[in-house]
Amino acid sequence: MRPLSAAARPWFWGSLFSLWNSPALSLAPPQPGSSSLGITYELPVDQKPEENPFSTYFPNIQDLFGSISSDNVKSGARLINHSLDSLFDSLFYSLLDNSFTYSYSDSYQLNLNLNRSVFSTDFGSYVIMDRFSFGPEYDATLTTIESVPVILGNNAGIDIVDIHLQSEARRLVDKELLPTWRYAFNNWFGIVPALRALLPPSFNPLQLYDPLRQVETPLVFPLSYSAFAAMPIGTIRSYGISGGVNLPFTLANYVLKNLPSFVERSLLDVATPYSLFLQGEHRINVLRKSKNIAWVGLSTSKTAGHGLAGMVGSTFFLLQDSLKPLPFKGLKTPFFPFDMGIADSLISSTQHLYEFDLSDERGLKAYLAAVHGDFSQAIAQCQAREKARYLTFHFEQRSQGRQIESHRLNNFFLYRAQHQENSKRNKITMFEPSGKYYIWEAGRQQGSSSFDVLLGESEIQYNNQVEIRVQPENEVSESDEAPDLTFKFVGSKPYQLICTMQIRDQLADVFEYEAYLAKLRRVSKFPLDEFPQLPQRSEERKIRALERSYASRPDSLAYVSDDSITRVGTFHATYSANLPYKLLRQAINAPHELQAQYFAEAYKLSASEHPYEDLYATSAILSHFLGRWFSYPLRLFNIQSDRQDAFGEVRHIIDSFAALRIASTPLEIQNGFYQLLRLEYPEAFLVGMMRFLPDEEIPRNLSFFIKPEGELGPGFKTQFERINVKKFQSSLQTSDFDRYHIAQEKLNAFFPTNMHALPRRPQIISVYIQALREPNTPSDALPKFVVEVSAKGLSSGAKGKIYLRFENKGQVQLNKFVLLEEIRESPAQKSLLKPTQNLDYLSYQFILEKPDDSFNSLIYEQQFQLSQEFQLILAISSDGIVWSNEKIFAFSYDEGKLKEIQED
Amino acid sequence: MGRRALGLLLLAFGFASFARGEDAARPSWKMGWGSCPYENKGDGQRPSPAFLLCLNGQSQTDLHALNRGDSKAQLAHETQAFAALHYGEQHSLQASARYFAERPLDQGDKPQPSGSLPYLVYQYGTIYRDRLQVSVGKHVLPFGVERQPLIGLYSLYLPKQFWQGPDLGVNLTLSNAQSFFVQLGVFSEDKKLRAKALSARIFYERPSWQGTKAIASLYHHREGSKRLGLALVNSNADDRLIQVEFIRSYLHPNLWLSEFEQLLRLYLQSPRRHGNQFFCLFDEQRQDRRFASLGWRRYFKDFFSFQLALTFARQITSKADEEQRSQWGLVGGIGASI
Repeated sequence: MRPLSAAARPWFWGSLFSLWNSPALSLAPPQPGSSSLGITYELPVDQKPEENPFSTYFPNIQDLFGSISSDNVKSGARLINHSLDSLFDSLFYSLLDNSFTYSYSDSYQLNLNLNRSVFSTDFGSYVIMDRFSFGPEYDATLTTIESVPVILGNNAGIDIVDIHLQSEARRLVDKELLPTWRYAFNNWFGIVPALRALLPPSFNPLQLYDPLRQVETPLVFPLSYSAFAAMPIGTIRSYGISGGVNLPFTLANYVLKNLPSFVERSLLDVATPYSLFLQGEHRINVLRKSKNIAWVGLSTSKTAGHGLAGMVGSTFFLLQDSLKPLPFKGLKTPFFPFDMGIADSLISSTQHLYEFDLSDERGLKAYLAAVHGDFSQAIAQCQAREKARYLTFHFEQRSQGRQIESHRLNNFFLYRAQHQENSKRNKITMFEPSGKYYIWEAGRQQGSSSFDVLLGESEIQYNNQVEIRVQPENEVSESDEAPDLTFKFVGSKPYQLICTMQIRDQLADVFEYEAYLAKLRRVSKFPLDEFPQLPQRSEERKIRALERSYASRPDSLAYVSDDSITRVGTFHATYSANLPYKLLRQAINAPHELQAQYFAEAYKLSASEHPYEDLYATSAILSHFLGRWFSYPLRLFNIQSDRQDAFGEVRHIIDSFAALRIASTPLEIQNGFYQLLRLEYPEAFLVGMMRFLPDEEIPRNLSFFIKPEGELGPGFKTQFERINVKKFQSSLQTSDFDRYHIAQEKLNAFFPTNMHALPRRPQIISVYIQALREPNTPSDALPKFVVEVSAKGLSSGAKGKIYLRFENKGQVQLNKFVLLEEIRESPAQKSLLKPTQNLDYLSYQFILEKPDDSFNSLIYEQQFQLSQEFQLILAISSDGIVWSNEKIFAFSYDEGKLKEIQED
Repeated sequence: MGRRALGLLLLAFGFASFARGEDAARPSWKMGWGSCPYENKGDGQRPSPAFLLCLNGQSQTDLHALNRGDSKAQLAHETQAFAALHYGEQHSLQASARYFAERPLDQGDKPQPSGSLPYLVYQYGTIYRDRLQVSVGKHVLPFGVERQPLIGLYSLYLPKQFWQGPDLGVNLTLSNAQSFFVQLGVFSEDKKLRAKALSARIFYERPSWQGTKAIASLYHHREGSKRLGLALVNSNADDRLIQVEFIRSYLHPNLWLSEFEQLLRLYLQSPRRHGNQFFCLFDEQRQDRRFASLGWRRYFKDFFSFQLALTFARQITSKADEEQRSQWGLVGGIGASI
């Protein structure tokens, strides 16, 4: 945002006042070069692509929906405490995670669960996933071997999921539309806003907002047209039927039977279940793409495998029975210093995707049959020679594979650290209207995250995945999965490696900001010159901290702190690099010494530590290996030493290249990459790989979402605005696997954080603010502000809905006093700033002034006079459902003069 | 080591500092009310005065109306005063005085006043500036978050047995002057200055924690009782305070056999916005009592405040035949601070 012009002339004022109370406000255009009575902000236009071809980072819908049930089965976790909860999960969010169990006997019970998950998005809104599940469970001890009980577990159930967007603007729309009692209920009769004022910013009130919607979840699946029509566009609803058998052995009784008695007294549980499991699921997902278009996905999966878990800790309930006679069971306080597990499973799955046009009666009929589980009509229509306009078959994906998942978690209630890995190999057959093709995959996904009570969650995730295009040696029809079928490569560049990296930090400080940028510069080779250098400390706060510390009393040391580190705010970045076939072959076939040099440098080994074979016996190398083994126990606490691990990992890469060099068949290549990608440090690996080909030949994409808060001045905010809409990419953007990626993209449309891509979101392109004061009024009289908002992507017929929050701006950025917060509706008007007619955007004008009612008016007046600096937060929508990003416009108003607040 | 030795040590520090020679450009005296006027010494442009006297204090008077109990209304008043005389950046003499009086209004009793001198110490070094700090004299042992978050009427309700009262001793703080502080404290018992109690406390701050300290502390008494404390305190310049504290006090030397008392404290104080502040205190003493208070405070001109709070106290008992007593109350109070 930058001030373009600011202007007013006497005639302009006169005309404004004559129009003051007229329903159709019209303003004269500001004249450049005159005194600064108005401010114009122009915002950069979003260049980001609607669809990201590299979003294979995200887990597919099957993984997402299936994760809860399958995780439990794999770890036998029903038998032990679930330790993943964070502080806010425990204190507040768990109010919406409810389990009701009815036990028929010691071994048979009926479960009913309601829970809510919240995903943050790159555009400020949140995706809420409400889940209802219901089903019986049977556990019986079959026998006991050497004090180890052998238990047979059976479970089956149905679950229904409702996924929708939630945002501050939507909440305010609710205030306008819902009955008062319902809005009050949604806010827990004022408790949620009170908690928001009192708690640190990692508390997200939208997690608790609207508890009734969660209870409605089982009733909202669109089994009829009216239910479908009631779904907001872009939302997802899903139901699944699942069942499974597991056979856990609780090894703790055997392995730890001689534990000293004080451990038993310590109230901590020790659990080491080993479990065999078999799980199946059948799921139907519905996505409302537009008014009458529904995407219906059908997925079935079977999983079989075994897993081992280890866990030390317990869940305590603080303040148990403290609110008697209210049935309050206490604050759930999970304390699990160690929680780890590994599961190896074979997975077979099928996914179909159909598109129905419900405006056609035949489409509606086929849709209703499909959501009731009968896809025969859809399949018959798709197999018919004549293409039906009301029904589109996108694809069927059959996948068979194996995956090894592991996790390490330390949960100390107020702080949590987690690391997880998932290595997989898949053989995929795609059936599309245009024909059948095969893709084999091998890859590894890994992520580390931490949570602390003050700053919320931060995580870094990597996904390296090789995709191999194959076809059978001989043409076959139906028996593609026959074990004796042999495959060959397709084309001259049959495989590529896609590497993605994602950073998400809810509240980053300046050191984290710099570290993230350094990481991204290193892996992307983009200079990222656009990023501002931020001050490391707020000088003002540093002085304050020293003042307080200098005068601190001896008994107040705990209350003295140095909080002067610059806070940046939300930091999200997504990076992907497509390593083409040429690069992979050059890396594999490169001389041994060159491979060693490139990767040793990427892993920051010194010149004397290059991992040649003949150095195996030297003391330096020996110390590397010994150091690595000795540092292994630290991994229990998610502490890793990249220095100690580097040598071993470089050796692993070079050895894997040697194996890949002699691999000739698709299966050997798949296994070779599977081994190669079992890495601990994917970032360094990517840096090393990119040296085998010039940067310009490697397709790369990088995008950011940075939402600064705190004391960063508007100058920085403007810079981040521009960065957020910019697409950092290499000149080369080709991919040989488009068909497959398009299919994956369609599946990913069901992934919650991708929901925003479905309906085209409006975008604010400019805002003009003008202060108005009646002539002959005292200089301290309250002004009115005329605001014009211009936005793209709005439907021209409807009235524009404008979310506005007008608040004080001061040093303290959290919980600022809000002068006005409301939704305004207005028809589009001729723009003052852009007089030439342009169909690309629409403009709306409104006035900010003190409220009508006396109480709020008094508060407004008092707060307005206390402050000279304000900020206006705006979002815009056509339908009240799909909103633009919220934009912040900061300005000062002093003695009748309006000024944009410049950078500190 | 006797008292004489302590006195000698004090004098040695004093002489050592004078012997270093002084900057002639320094003004000789300055006095500050409220917060101490910090002079940015490091840049060489604004010299500190040779002597700096800092005075501050707070006073609170509360009226508490209760729904039940021996008395339905009580009045409590507390005043704390603090004075520090700094010489240069490293030497200071610090003293604090406390006056407390409470009176049940409906029983006609006279107020029960009490005065005390919580500390009177010589201190060498300043936190965030010096890697070494030593304080000698009468003060409290470093353990947990020793300062109570609320004063006035709350002094009647907040437990005191988890912290050692003021006594003669030495506290030593070693730190990197940024993020990691280790404190050791030794208290004497008698005229021979034999150690009566020892304590150790560790503070850890991380830049990303934004003014948050993790605090772990241990206390050992010569007669065998021990205490363990864990706390997390987030305090910002905007007056926001979040405090979570857990203390377990073992009465017997053998921890595995010993009975123990336990305190869990949660205190939240919102930033001060346009003079308004909310606070919430929750204390749970295991098998003893629970106390909660939710309040609002309004500041006028920064030094005068008015507060209203709702309190809830409940006695916890494990005996079935004992009555579970609960008390609700409303507090209204005025406070002043400089």
